[in-house]
Amino acid sequence: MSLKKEIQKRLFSQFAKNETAIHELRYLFWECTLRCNLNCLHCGSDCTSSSSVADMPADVFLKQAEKISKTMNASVITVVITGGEPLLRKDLEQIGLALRKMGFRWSLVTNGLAYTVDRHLSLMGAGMGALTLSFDGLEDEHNWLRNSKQSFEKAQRALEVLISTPRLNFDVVTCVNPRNIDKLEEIYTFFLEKGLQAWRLFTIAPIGRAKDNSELLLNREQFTFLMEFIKKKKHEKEMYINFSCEAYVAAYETEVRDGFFFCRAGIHIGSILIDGGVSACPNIDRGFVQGNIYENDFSDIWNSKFQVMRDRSWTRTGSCANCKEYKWCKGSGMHLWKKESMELIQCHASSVFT
Amino acid sequence: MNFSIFKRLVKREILKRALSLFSLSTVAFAFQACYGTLNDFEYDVEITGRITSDESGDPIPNIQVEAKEINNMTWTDANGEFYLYAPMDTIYTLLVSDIDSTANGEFYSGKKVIDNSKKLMQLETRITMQSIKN
Repeated sequence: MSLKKEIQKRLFSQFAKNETAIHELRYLFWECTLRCNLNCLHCGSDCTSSSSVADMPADVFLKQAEKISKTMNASVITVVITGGEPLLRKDLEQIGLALRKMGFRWSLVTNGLAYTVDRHLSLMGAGMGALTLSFDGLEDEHNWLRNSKQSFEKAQRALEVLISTPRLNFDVVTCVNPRNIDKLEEIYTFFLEKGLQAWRLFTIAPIGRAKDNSELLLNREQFTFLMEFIKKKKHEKEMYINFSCEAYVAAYETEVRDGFFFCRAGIHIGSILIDGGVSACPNIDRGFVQGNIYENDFSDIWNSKFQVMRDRSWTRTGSCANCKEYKWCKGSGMHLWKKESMELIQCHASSVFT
Repeated sequence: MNFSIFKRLVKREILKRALSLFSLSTVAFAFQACYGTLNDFEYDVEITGRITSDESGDPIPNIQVEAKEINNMTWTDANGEFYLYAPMDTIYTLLVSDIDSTANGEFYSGKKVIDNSKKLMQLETRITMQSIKN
């Protein structure tokens, strides 16, 4: 490792330690619905088209948002509306406007199926500032993973609408799996020709529906191939391409992402889940939920709980106990831990150790 | 603010400067959660307005407000107020129309041009609509 990278790494480690102590909320997920218009093979939230769980009423969420805006600095907080498929709600615009009036910025995560020009304009008019679109490959691979014959066409339409709006900061996320990994170059060219500027690649974690489907998970060789692909494309600088912040990747740190790995769950990232549960990223094991807004305010829970995410020393167990990378990894992504067994379910770094 | 938090914030500033020497400051502070979105460019303007009757001076609810250049539309609330977010560096033509027939009175359509070439983040406007007299 170069001296420069070593200094960067140590500085960043100090920064992460300091930020953990401050734990200022910067990113608030709102799981507004569990309803979905797709039935994806890999869904982390296991949602359905007719979820038995009711959507969270707008006024319940906005009441919490208002309290947060009075106790924290709303101007540095982005509210990320997620689901299920958030576009199934018809009140996003009213909610978005209310959030902006409180001082928050807001954004949306969508599969694009219901993303029309009209909806785009009304969301932009309501102050939406960023968006993430799921797009998992060319037609066959995308429709297979999304379990829908029309998904690719609709996602493509959404992509074209989004590209036409320069003031919206958006990216496309792709879940890399054994079916699309050999087509990454073609997918890259497709996105490049469409004019996409930011592409983020994920692997699929063995959680939600994916936990029982080994067909979705990359093996060691495929994972290394993915790292090399991203590294190469980052050097070419034709597009802003990154590996997601899902896990620590040892020697590939800063080669496949701009910064070093730092799982900010519970440090900068909080969430209000569909049942009122308070946690960090919505894909984290629900056993780690820290409270409920129907019993306490989000701000109180944020300020008094979350120790399990701010002090990760408990993760030094099992395969992490004697790992030489632990100092930098700190147990990898919080969503990769099971509460019941307190075990790490997937180690990305071990896939790329030489 | 207690002293320990103050010390942490000072340390944050020092680290921010140190990280910027290594081009890491931006990525450290403008992060993106795993399954979340990028950060907003913060390149829009909040246009707020109030629409009143020329005759009574009262606010008019349910008036359609269309920002022509950006194909955006909204409606006034019970206080005759509307809110709209639009690209920052643009001139907007706001077209106002009475769409609810005789409810809330009857008014001629009108327009107002707003110039935001100064790239303000907030703009406030007032529009008076001419009443259709019987």
